[in-house]
Amino acid sequence: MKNLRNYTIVLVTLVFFASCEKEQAQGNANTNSMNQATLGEGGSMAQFTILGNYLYTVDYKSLKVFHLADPANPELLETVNLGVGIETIFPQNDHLFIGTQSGVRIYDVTNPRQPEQVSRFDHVTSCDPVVANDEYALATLRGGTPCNGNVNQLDLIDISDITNPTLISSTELLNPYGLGLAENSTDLVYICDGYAGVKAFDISNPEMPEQVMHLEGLDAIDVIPDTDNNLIVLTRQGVYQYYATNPLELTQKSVISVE
Amino acid sequence: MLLLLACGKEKKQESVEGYKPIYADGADLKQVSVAAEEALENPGRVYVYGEYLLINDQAKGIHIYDNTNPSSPVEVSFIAIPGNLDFSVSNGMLYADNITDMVVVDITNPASPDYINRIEDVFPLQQFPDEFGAFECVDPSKGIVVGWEKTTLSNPECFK
Repeated sequence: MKNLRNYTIVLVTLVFFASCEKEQAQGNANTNSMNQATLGEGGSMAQFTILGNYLYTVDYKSLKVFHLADPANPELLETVNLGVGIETIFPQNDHLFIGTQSGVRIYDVTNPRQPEQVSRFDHVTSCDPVVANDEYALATLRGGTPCNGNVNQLDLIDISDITNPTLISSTELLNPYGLGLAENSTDLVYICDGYAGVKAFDISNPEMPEQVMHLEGLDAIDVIPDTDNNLIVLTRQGVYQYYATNPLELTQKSVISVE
Repeated sequence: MLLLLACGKEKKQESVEGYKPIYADGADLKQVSVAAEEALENPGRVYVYGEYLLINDQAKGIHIYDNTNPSSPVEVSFIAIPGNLDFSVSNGMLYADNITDMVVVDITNPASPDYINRIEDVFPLQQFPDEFGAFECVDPSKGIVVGWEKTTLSNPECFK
């Protein structure tokens, strides 16, 4: 543990310095403070996330708050019923972004024991993970059958007024699942477009995201843009890692293949 | 169950992409165990914890890899957790779903995880897949549904 802790502190320190250089907020809530140095980082499809001493989980119908004050004995504090079709949870600063089949819901956890909904952004019924930074929330919408429409797209939502999320643009995709904001740029988002592989979009013009990279041949489900420009991609064939120093041209490092 | 909207009157005799339940039977459902390694079958989640990469194998458990060198990750342990679909880690403790329970596994030494606690009945059972579309209807006589896997279905009767 000691080694691990030392390692993560060094890592976080490095990230901290790196982000000072670029003077930018990271989209990833898990790298934004020293006291989270021993915390991990999940992908956008996650249904569990930890903020400080609290574990938040979503299942298909509710949000739950567990207190981790005694780490070996998590205590269920609160169950917030959310209806149906709840899918993913993403932390950003003092907010939780919850991806549901009817849209994105934003909860304030300034009081970590009692999440309070501050707003919601509704869309057509679809499956949708969501990630966010300080300015934007990005959600993918994946339709499936004619029952629920065939919308497959990336919605870019302005959240500078968190009480009033506003759609800026919708960009067509084929079969989108998870997504992740790049570690080394605020203008780049990686999208797992299911059977269409991995794509990167430049969102410096949020009204017109531009596809700048497309890696085909993978059934891509989720992505973690890790530190050191290491890009981790979960696919149905296995888990791939890439050099993403130049995000426009990924170079494979390894694959843990499905057997 | 309101979710289950049957939509096709146009029933066709054909194979479609869909999901089928992964069942588990009663006795072993709360059995959490540790192995040195295990083949990766059906990855559902990835998670980075310091120099370690954790991968959920849907409904099976969690693989832990030493990812110090991402060009050659090395599996150091596998935690078998029936029905597991998600997890998170903080301060060396791994919190994971085990059907309707939460389990706590100490991974301070990732090569030797230590299952230390269980919080019972905190999660609901989900009897349908996350995805939209056709799925194989649940047959309770086969056990408890612990997950869903993609498959080809012929003449499916359940839809979401």
